[in-house]
Amino acid sequence: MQNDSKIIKGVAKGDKQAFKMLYDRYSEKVYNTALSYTKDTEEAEEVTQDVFMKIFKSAATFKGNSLLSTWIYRIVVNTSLNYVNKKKRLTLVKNNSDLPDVTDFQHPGVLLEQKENAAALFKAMDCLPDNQKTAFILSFIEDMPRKEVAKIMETSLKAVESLLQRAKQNMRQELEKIYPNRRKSDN
Amino acid sequence: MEEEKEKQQWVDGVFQSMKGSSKATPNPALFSLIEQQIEFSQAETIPKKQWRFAVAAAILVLIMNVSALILYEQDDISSNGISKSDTMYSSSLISNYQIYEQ
Repeated sequence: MQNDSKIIKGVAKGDKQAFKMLYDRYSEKVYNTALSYTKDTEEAEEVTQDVFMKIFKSAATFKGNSLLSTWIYRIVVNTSLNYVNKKKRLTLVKNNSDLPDVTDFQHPGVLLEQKENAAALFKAMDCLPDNQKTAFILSFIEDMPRKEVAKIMETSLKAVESLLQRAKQNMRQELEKIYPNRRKSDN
Repeated sequence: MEEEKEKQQWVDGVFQSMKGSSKATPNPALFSLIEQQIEFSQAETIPKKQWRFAVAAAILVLIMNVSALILYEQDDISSNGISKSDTMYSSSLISNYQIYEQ
């Protein structure tokens, strides 16, 4: 199995086979991360396309100062945030008011018994600013080590832990607001 | 008190809700779409080069035509003092308007 360094060098030379190998290795990770941001399977696919286009075009700029996965995750985080923020701005301009209510996002991979709770989790994530959302997605949804999250976000481990603490606090407050409605639907 | 405890338990449960979930997979046709997009973006650069060549060729032809016209006019004037075209259009069918012999 070829290592990441050889693959990215191949992609930089325009080797289509190397690009396919890279895609097979990283497409699921890229897609799932994008899905956590967009909460829509089609939009996540659009972001995934953009990410791999960027990887193909800028493979030659990868100097190997970080792991290839770190570099790729940085691209997917930035592309996802830009996509989501652009969509928010366009929606606000179109509606000329607050953001419209959206139906709860059902993640395709969630266990059946957790679907409702997972939908509440993604809803609560909406209240987070970009940096807290990124730290939360990479740590709790993508299950990455905090050290790796810090490298992707180009910040310190301490900063990531602080972001996660604040993210959980904010989400907890948001979930406590949702809880009364949940109890009503149970009864 | 009981309700508050239940609420906190539920919130904790929400934070754990993604544990054990499987990864979502993208559409199998996605890679083909990406390949097509790459080919399309690479194809765009060729017409631009051709366009520049075409413009350069058109300018060259224009310069050559203008030069040819200028040289033709200069050649006309330098041989007679007047251009051939002037001589041709100034002569008329009738020279003195005497149509009857005297």
